[in-house]
Amino acid sequence: MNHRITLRALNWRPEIDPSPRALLADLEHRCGGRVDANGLFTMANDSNDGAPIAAIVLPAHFFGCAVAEVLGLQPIDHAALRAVAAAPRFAWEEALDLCAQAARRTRSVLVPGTHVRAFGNSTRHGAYVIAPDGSVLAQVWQTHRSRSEEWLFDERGDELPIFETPVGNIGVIVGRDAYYPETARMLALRGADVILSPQGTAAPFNPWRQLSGVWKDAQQNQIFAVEAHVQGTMWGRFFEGRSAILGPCEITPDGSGFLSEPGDAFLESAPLESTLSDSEPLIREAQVGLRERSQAQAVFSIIPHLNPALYRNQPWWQTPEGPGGNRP
Amino acid sequence: MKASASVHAAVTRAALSTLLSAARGAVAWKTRPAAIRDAFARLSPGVAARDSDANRVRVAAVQWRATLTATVADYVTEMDAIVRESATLGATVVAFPENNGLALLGLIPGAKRLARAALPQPGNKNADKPSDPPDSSQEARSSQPPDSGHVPDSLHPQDSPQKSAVLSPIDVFRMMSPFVDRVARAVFSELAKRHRMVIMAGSFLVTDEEGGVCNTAYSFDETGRLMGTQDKLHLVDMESTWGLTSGRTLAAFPTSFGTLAAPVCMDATYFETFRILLSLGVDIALLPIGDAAEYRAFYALRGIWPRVQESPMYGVKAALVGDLFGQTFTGKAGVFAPIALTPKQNGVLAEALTYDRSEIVAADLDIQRLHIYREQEWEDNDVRPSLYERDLSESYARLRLEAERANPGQP
Repeated sequence: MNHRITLRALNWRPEIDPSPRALLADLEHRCGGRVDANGLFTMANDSNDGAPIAAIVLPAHFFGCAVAEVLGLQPIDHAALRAVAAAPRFAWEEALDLCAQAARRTRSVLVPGTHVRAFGNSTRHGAYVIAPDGSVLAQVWQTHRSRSEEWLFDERGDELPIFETPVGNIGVIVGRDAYYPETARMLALRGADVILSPQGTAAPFNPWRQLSGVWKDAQQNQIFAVEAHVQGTMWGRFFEGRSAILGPCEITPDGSGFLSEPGDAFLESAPLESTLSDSEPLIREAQVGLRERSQAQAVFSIIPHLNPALYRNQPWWQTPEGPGGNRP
Repeated sequence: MKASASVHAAVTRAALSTLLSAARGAVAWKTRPAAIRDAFARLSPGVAARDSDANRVRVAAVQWRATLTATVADYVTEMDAIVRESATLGATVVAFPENNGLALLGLIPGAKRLARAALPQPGNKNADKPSDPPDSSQEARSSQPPDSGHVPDSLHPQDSPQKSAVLSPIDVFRMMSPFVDRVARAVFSELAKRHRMVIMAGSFLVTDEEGGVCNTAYSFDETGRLMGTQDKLHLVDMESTWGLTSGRTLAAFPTSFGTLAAPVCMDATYFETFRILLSLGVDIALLPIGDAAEYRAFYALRGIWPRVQESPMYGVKAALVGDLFGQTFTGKAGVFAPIALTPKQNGVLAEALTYDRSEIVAADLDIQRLHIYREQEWEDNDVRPSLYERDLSESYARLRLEAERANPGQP
């Protein structure tokens, strides 16, 4: 696949943009669509073959808030989170319809943030993956539960699928799965070109902490990645991160691995209030060609030098399942 | 024309074989044990490093601008000065850079010219020509005096149209291996003992038991005992092209203050290395690097820094810098830790100011604090063995199969 694709990530401040429904409509317009004189929504920049050209990632908890909005709930505390997790089916379907429409109208692969869903007495944290035609490709569940997420969900997922899409082979990493390097490696070794990752990082913002997540995954696997962050209070927690489009250092102009802004600017990111407009969400965006990955790999070869004999000799994962199982 | 070139190549090959034999004899003489003893005899007594606390240790990371050394005495003097300075800084552990032994290639008569011919730039298709195993009969000449030490211009392979076809780097590394190994063991063992320091001596290109050439780090305890060696596990393209062999196991070295390991350079680009180290209970990873590339901060950030975030431990990076064999090495020595254990919340405890000059940086490591962090604070400590076994292990097995198909007969 050689065509260029657009990767987009939304910085979302729920205090400023509390309505997911309104934000999705705004996103549709910002990403090139318009409503014509007949009331029909059309893309402003249709490609000749009509092929989808973009992937969009919305921050963690966006979809959960969309469900809350359908129910008329405010996502202000943990009780609201539990209520959304156990919401009736119609609420999920209505929120999903909104996102499916956004995917169709932006002709994008869309990961509309994350949600927590109840299954009997337990809960899972996951993300939908929606195709450009609006069909739901899957729900991907977070596969690891970090110490700081014990409040959020109980049960971990067991699958990390790859989606063959017109945008390329896509893998989805939910939340702190990005801080487990096994996750991105599994996806990369099974052929992922792009990782889409809705993120909700506990405040205060620390650029170094964020670098040790998706950025590190992008570098270690020489893969493209989109991370979308929520900035603000939700479910009684305060989140702060910076959305970014990432790629191998070798193909970024400043060698930073950041495609959507200079890497130095990211490291120098100031407090929330001074970096984001109070009036509108900020979309991070970059255009990439999937072939650029192989250019990076030709310059700095990582995957071919993996050492399977070593890993077979010393399989670090053969340890008790669960928190601390890897700890000496 | 072809016949003429062929004859020329054969003559050159024979000449180089003779040259290598002569060089072997010269290097054997220069690195004889008595020469090393004499070099140490000229040094002032060691600076006894302070005792390590049971849980706290000061480490030094060396950034060394290497040059080819003409005599073992020069090498000993320079290494001693570095250890001495580290001890003065209060360090009880010191880490040297990758390819610390490249300087010893200066012991080869006419080394600079030979090195230019023997170490082609990456991409040279002739660089991985098969080579003969080391000739042990030649090593028996080690008591002979050195030759005149001058390489006639006419014998230099760069004068031949087949210049790189007749001598590969691996030939030079194999020829030098017993002497480099001898120097590494003798010099750093003595330095460790003299200064009562734990020393990771950096890495050296030496042959393994099966005859392959490995990039191997040596680690000594404060009594001078060799705690162990560590072959580089993940090679770079250039090393593969040269025909180096990668290691197959990671070693850990328990000490009174914590458990050490010495993965080599690119090993820190792979999270797998540090997951294994963590499973071995390693507290401090001493990482020698030698990066033959322009220095770029974000590129450098892809190594040990994220690794100690993923798999909490301390990381001590020692860097080779300067110009050797037509290549410019850059890098910043540094000491790294999980972000929460660093005062500036950036994962850095100390880092060199430059990337192209000699420096030594030092930092205190609190092992007890690291253990508390791992047990009580480390956020991402979940493990999914069933998932990794099913998915990751399968992918590794597939890679292994592909590698075996591509290189049948390789272990």
